Amino acid sequence: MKTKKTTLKASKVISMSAKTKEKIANVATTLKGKELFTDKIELAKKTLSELKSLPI
Amino acid sequence: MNNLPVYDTEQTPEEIKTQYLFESVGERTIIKAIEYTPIASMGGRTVYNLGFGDYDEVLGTIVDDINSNNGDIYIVFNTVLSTVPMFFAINEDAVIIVSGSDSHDEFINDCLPTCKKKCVALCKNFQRRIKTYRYYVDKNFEDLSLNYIFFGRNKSKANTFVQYIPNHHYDDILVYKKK
Repeated sequence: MKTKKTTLKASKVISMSAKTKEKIANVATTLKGKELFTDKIELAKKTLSELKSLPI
Repeated sequence: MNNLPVYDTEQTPEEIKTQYLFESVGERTIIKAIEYTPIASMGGRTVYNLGFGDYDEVLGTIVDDINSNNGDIYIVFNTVLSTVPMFFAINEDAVIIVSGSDSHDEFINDCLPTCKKKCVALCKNFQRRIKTYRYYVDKNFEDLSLNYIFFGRNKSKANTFVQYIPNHHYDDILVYKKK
């Protein structure tokens, strides 16, 4: 799976090896389409549902 | 965002959510995921939940309720923060909601059976994550305010977000990008 390279404007970046990139691509494939952080998302939705509107 | 190093991240090609993966290299190597998931549309803006956790190779999913204690917490945290400007660069009008996976009411009961901190009166792990985010915002509030607007919600006071004041207690934080 192809992944999009991201860049940072600040901070020293600890680069990843080709082997790590490959491992991450495999993990990305495994995670693709899965719903993650479901409990936390439900809590955040509940928090937002209690609001009349956003502050701005 | 500061002088600490960050791990290189890879943005995965998800269509709706925005996901970054990186490898934490400490006592072990752990793949970690940062995910911005759209959870609500309010007032013409989409609110994204900021999720962060470890990849569990056995389960093939992300777990966000453990502390991996891999010895590189500051680099990991800085890496999470480094994705905020990257996320806003592609979602300028988005709002990010930040809360902790260890902030829910049942956390203390879940933590106790396996906790090694020998807490007596208060659970030291409770709200640890949101406290870490707040610490960073408080410490860098002036600089961050140049580019971002923060609101906080203290659920014991009111179910509404108010202007973020450094060193106040908040359970949830909303982040906007200034234009």
